[in-house]
Amino acid sequence: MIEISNVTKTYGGRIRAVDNISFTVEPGCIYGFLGPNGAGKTTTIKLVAGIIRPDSGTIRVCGYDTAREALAAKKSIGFVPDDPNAFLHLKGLEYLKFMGDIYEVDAKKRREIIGSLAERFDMTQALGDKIQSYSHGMRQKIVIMGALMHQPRVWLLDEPMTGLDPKSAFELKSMMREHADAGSTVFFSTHVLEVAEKLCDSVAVIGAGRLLYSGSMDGLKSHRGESLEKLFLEMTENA
Amino acid sequence: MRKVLILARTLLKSSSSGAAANQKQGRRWWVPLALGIAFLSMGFSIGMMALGIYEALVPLGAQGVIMPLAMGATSVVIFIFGVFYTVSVMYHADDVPLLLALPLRPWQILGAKFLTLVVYEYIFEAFILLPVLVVYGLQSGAGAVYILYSAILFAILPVIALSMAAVLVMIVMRFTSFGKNKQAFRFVGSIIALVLAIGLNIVLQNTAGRMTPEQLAALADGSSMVSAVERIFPGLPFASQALIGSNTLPGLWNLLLFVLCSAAAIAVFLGLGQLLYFKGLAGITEAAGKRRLLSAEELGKRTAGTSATRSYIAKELKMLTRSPIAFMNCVLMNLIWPVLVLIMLFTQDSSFAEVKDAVAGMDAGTAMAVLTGVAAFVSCANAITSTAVSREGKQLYFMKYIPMPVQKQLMAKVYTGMLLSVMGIIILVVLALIMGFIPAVASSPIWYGVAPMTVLGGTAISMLELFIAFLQAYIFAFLAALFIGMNVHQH
Repeated sequence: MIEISNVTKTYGGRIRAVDNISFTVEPGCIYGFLGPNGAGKTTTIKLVAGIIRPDSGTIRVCGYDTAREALAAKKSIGFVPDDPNAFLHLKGLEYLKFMGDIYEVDAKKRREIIGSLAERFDMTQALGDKIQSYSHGMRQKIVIMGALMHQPRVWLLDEPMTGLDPKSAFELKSMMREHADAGSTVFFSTHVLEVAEKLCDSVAVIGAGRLLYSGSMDGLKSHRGESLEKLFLEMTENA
Repeated sequence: MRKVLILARTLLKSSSSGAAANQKQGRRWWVPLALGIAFLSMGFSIGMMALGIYEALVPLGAQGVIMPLAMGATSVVIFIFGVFYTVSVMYHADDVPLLLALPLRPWQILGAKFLTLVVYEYIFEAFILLPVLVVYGLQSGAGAVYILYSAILFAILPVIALSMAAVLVMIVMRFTSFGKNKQAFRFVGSIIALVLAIGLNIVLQNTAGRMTPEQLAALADGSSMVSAVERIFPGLPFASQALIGSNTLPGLWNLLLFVLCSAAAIAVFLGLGQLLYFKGLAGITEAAGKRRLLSAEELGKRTAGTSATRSYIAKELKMLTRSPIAFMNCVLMNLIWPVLVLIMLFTQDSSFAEVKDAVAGMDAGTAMAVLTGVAAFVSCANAITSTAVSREGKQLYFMKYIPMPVQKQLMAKVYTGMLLSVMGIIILVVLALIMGFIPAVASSPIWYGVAPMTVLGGTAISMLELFIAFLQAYIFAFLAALFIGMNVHQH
């Protein structure tokens, strides 16, 4: 569902934020993206979302080339950025309506989706208020709700657990599982190795812009027989 | 006390470096230059006004009046801005929660914040009081003592007005819920500031050349407004008396009395602050929310689908009218200037008649040309399309990840600009009616052809503005890259 082939992205002609990486995210899979701060996780996610263009290489989402068929690729993605502080002057519901209009979600469908997402995330009472009055976690939740409005096949989430309360984190994790089990894809970055260990079917580890590992979580652990934390530290230390 | 000074220094440093960091696209050398020119011209016109009044009062032997006049005006301005500064710096600033966690007493935090505010107020003093001090000094041939006294008074003048503003704010914040909603406060504050600025301008323009010397001399009289203003600020008369009598012993006594009054004001402020400050901080929020459950009907109505472009325009309008900065710079500016022209016309009675006479003398063609030109100016004078992209700030990436072509998004932004421009034009039409333009123009049938042209012209200009904004962004990015590149290679 996401195919990244030989992608390189350089900033200022010198720093290689992403250095010739290739991997494929299969349907029906939760794919974790791990790496230390500044390793290139957010850059990779922005490349997939179509926010920045790669210097070389290609990215395909649901079969669409993100460079040549940008709009079709974007429609199949639900993107959650790492910073939820956007559209603070809109009310929660206004934001969701706006996203519904942009992604052309049917009016009846959007009511159902908003209702069910608000229920699951405990946001029913906050929808009429401005996003500015929300806590960090609530802002994160409204951004996630906006991203899922059009029921995208590919979820692209940058650090989605940050700031969520235990119940919402649990709900999001269950939703990610349901989404993958229904044959779709979740691709998300995280610093929290426990989350990755429990949730992911596959992982990619990135360090200093280079791909250090990509494949199944079980394969990674059985290969060395060590804890994920220790493996991660060993892998990224010399990257 | 040492901690107060350390904290004040740190606060001043962090606010100035913060301002520098905001200038993303390298150092804009023209910003301080433009501000400098604006302040200089303002200071110059106040200086000229002071000179006029001074010379008019010399025959009456009452030239000393300009001193309480200047001190009173400066104190009023400091007090009004002090109220807003105090709320934003002492209560709403992002660093307040951090400072509360430090092992400091309320009066220490307040003292440090107060010192930073005094420094900010020097800016107002520099262009209101300083020109008057210079004019008085030069005209009265004052000596070194006058310069010394002036420097001392310049440094401590804001203390009394600012202490009073701060005490007022502390009481309001402690016992009422006013000012607890940061967003609402900024909104109200920015509008009041604009109204005050306009009002000040009008007062200045109208008083400068109009008062007779008798009226001016009457200002110095016990019953006049000036002494009433002076009485509001306890101790302020000592300041002007110190300068007027700078060569005499009573001058020195007056100076000492003023210093004492200022010290007392700070003592009262800090003492009350010790009691009121921490409790007044409770309940401040960025924006209030009601947390109300919406009914199914409401939910349906408020999420009903519209086209992407219409939705985008609605979003732009909401962001423009709800963000205080955008509202002030884009929406208000678009609507306020025709109102300004109206006020100017009505407050200066002769000019209104002059304009009307001029319009009456115009043939239809000239009147139309003037009106069309002004209409085109209104539609491009607002900053809505020229800031269409830069307004997005850090959220610019949003434009790139949604499945809506960038051309469509930009057009939605242009439509938003046009929509608000039309509002400006409506006000203009009202203005034109009042001035007698419309009858002059409507007598010619060409008008009906020209009117739609104005709208087309407005659209073209909006697009041109957007293009220029892009060009500007591109050039800044290019220059910044060049600059950084050069620095990297040097080392």
